[in-house]
Amino acid sequence: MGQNEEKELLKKELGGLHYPEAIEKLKGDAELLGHEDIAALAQEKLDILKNTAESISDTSPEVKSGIVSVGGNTEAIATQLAEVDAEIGSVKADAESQIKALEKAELETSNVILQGEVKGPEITLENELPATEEQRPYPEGILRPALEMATKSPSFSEFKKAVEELNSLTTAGGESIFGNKFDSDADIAKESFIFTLGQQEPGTRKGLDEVQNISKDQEEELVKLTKKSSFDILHARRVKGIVERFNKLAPEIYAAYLEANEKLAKEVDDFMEKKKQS
Amino acid sequence: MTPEEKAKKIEEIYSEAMKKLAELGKKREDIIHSYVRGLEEQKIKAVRDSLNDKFSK
Repeated sequence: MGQNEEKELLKKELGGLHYPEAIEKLKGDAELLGHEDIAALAQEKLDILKNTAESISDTSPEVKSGIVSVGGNTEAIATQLAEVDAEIGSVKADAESQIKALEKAELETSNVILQGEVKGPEITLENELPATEEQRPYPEGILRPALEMATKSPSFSEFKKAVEELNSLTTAGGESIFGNKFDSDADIAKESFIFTLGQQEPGTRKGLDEVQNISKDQEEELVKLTKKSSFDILHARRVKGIVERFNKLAPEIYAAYLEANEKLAKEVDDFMEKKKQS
Repeated sequence: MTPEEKAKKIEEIYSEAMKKLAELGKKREDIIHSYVRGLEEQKIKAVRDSLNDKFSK
């Protein structure tokens, strides 16, 4: 049996318990929030603008033949329309560049907290992020530095252990069930967003509660099921334990992140204010 | 700027551009109509002139 088939079977067998799905949902929600929504909205609007501009500046064959039928010349009318067509192109191009600038700012600043809240200096089209440290502290954005500060939180080592444990759960084929890749402690701290904000989302909350309320009977049922698959019953108990720890620890790390984020945002604001005054 | 604010800003830019495009579309139609009307008037004038010529002779 391939690893993918094994995973699928595992998902089906554990369908009634929801917890792998709950974790996957948390990961999915996190991926969907933030810049992807903005990018999708921007793309939708750009497509409509492009199509509208094209259809407006196109003289249909019916109109052309109408012009010819009254003795007109399509080239002559094209000359008369050139100015307004250029204006249509310019309106489209301006809107495109403004929308793209907004979208780009979203990607580059990385000041986004999942579920929409952003801390830090406001970015406007007229005031895009300066690129160097002389122009602005943390030119790459304050997300990373704030996450690094959150890793100094007293609960972080315990949280890190829980994240690593969750990530180390593997199928018999040795493949990670959750498959997260962490390049640094800051990446691990970012997981606290998912587990804190996910708890506030009703569907995910229900999934997490179900994980924590696995009964003895359900565990026994799971043992029977797992005899048919390679998934170890210990994993179920470990996930349950890890989720319990996440529920307690993630909000603490997230709160540390928010505090750091606010502090850094103020630092940037003060710097920019002083710069404006001088 | 929150994503909601950003989305609102995108909507504003989009609405403003669509409004301008609608105005320019109308302007474009007016140019075509005016051109066609001019040609029709020339034709009518030519017919009228030719009739006048006939009756005046």
